[in-house]
Amino acid sequence: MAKVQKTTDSSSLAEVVDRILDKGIVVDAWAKISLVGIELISIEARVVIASVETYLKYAEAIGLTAAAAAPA
Amino acid sequence: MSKKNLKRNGRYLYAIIEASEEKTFGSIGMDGSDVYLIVEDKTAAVVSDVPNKKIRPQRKNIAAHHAVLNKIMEEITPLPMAFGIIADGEQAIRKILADNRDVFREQFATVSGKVEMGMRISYDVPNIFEYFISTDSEIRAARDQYFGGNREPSQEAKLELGRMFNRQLNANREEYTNQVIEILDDYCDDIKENKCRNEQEVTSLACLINRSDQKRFEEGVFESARHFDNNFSFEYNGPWSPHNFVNILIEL
Repeated sequence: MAKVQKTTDSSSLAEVVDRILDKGIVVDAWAKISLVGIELISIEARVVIASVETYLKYAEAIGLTAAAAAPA
Repeated sequence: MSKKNLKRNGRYLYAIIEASEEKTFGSIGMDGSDVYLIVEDKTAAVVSDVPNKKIRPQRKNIAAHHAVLNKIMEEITPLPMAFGIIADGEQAIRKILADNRDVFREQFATVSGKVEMGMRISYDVPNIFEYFISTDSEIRAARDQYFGGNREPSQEAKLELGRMFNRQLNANREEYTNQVIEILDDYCDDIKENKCRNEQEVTSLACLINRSDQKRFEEGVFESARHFDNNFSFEYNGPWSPHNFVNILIEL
């Protein structure tokens, strides 16, 4: 069986950021003037977007498993 | 503190709640500001006065927003505002409350007496790529083909391999997510699926449940986890304000 763990919400800033920055009621005209420097904190919560760069990164990582498995 | 001095300053909004009477929540807002209600016909905005109309998403500001929501949650389930919404003044807020009354009431009905719980499944393995190589024969064969020789594989070969991994990663996610949602459905009023943050993550769910059903929800998580081996780990958290179930864009 998979391990199950309860985390308290205060232990994870990322969980809080995910919810408070991205969800909830937005008033468009008011939000624009208030959010300065949003990129400062949202980077860690950013979703990984699949792209050429990502595919190459995956391939390199898979390549490393070959190197690890190769006989010495 | 004189209210007069703050007259031209902004009002930071934390949430919208059902309330008929004015009320204060203490100095728990942005930079220790007093949090209070602006009530308009049984619908209220939870606000505090802030000295200017720009606010940075710093840790302490996000923590203050979160703390105010938690305080309200002790009594009533709020409709949380997104971070960084500041109104010009009280009148503008009263207008928002009046103009959107029906939308707010509809949302109150959806989340009243409920809380949001978070549930995340991750691969609990030291190296996700090695795990896929050992469990997925197609990816293993492709690796051996492309990386088996002495020469560095071409860019095209790498892209193909990377795409294959990505495809399989997402196919697994979909399968496991559906499997878990089927079980959790019996324990929740509503479930929202969020995007995964990294390769290690399998699924990230937000679950709307009755306030009094938190123990039951926990049982649901354990029940789901029984269908997965120890290459996976389950993590749950909450209760939260229903951030994932309140999605209102007000256009002025």
